[in-house]
Amino acid sequence: MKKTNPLTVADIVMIAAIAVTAVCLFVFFAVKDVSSSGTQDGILTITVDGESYASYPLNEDKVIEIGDTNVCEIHDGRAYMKSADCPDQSCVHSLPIDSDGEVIVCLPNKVVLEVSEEKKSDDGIDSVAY
Amino acid sequence: MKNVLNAGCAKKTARENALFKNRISKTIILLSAAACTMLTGCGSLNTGKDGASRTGLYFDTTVTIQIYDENAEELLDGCFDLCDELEDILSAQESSSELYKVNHRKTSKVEISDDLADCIAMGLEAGEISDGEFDITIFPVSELWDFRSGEGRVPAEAGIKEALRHVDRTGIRLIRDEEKNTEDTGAILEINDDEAMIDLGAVAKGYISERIKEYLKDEGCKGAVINLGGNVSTLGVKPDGSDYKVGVQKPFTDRGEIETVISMGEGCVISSGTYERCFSVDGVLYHHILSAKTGYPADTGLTQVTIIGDDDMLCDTLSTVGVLLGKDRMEALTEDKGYKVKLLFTDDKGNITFFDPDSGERIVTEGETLKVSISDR
Repeated sequence: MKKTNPLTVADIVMIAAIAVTAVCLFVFFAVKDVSSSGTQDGILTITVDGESYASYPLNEDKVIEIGDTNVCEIHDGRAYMKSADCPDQSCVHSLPIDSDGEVIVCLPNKVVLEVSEEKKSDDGIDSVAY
Repeated sequence: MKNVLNAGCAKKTARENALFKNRISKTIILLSAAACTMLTGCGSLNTGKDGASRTGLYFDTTVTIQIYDENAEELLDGCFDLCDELEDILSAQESSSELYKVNHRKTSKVEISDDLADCIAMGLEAGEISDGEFDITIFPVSELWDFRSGEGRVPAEAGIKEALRHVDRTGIRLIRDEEKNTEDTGAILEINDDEAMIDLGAVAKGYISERIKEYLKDEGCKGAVINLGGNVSTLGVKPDGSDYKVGVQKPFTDRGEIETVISMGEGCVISSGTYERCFSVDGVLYHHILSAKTGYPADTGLTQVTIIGDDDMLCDTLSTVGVLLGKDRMEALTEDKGYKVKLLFTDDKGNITFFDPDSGERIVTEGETLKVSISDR
């Protein structure tokens, strides 16, 4: 009886195809990770009174009106509150945000701007006490 | 799987057997290739994606929780449910809350929950240790100042004097389980002045973050950073094994400007300052930390007191007490009581003092950023 070769040509082609796919996937995810830790890949999420309002990528300049009360702007990969009708204006005075987990809050109008995505702030600070 | 294959083999002819072996080898190759694909794919997806963060509005402030754990979303749900639950008890503003009902009581004796009793007990202790500068019954006076509204009006002196008459922590008696002689948990609160009202502003946030931390620990959470309206509390370790870095905001600057960076493991960093909930009239700053002796904002030459420790509620309370007492009295108090805390003062000239009552270590800087490591590793 002829001994069957355990590896036929078709097998080798299949193994090669799978290996190529694996390498491609690996490269794809590696590149994706690198790019998401770059400077302008954050997402700005806006919530009003706990409800999700809208999300925008930080890499496109944009002015966003949030209802009738607040206006937020994305410029140069950073987001800030351009104006608000609240009495204390502390949201307008907050520094622009661009790193994962940073927030600007307008308490009177219950508006929260939050940056998400993998991106460490330069100083490596996890949280700020105030 | 293996057993089934072997059982199948026994019944086959030699030729069939060879073909079958061939098929097995193919299957093994396919499976290992598939595993290889899955491993590379999933491995990459997981890098840096080992947690989640969420922000909510509770207790009239912002709550941000970052969790480093595979079950982050589930744990975040639990944390914010807990916030909901505790807001229903401890909010002085919500008319449905337990504290609101206590403040608008019809009888001098009320039954209260353990949560409320724990906070009131801490508040009463703070009154004792601060020699009455701090008083948990300051509420009628803080209502007059109304720092929350942002309108910024100095109340009439006569009004403050009148409200101060109802500020007296010694008129409050907290009767805990053992003395109470009832089956239920909780406590009984006896208040002899019908007009007296309780303000948990200096205590509640610390109590809440402590409860969140307890919940996360019980659930086996690996690491978390809780920021409850500026009170920072850390749990466990970061995924990369490094220390947590907590920044302390420089008073009267935009949030995000840091004057001190603290590297630490598990613990809390809690600040109180004259730059929060404040307003200026004719060049005079009026802030929310009110002396129970005068009814006016404390003036001890400090703009910020930060307490670093591991008991959130104690640290939260002590940060307010620190602004009320001033630097020297606060240092003496922590030495005297042997609290396991470290102190950080910023005075109105921008000088920063770090003081560890336990070791006696003291660092003083004039304005430049201070870096402190209190990690025990």
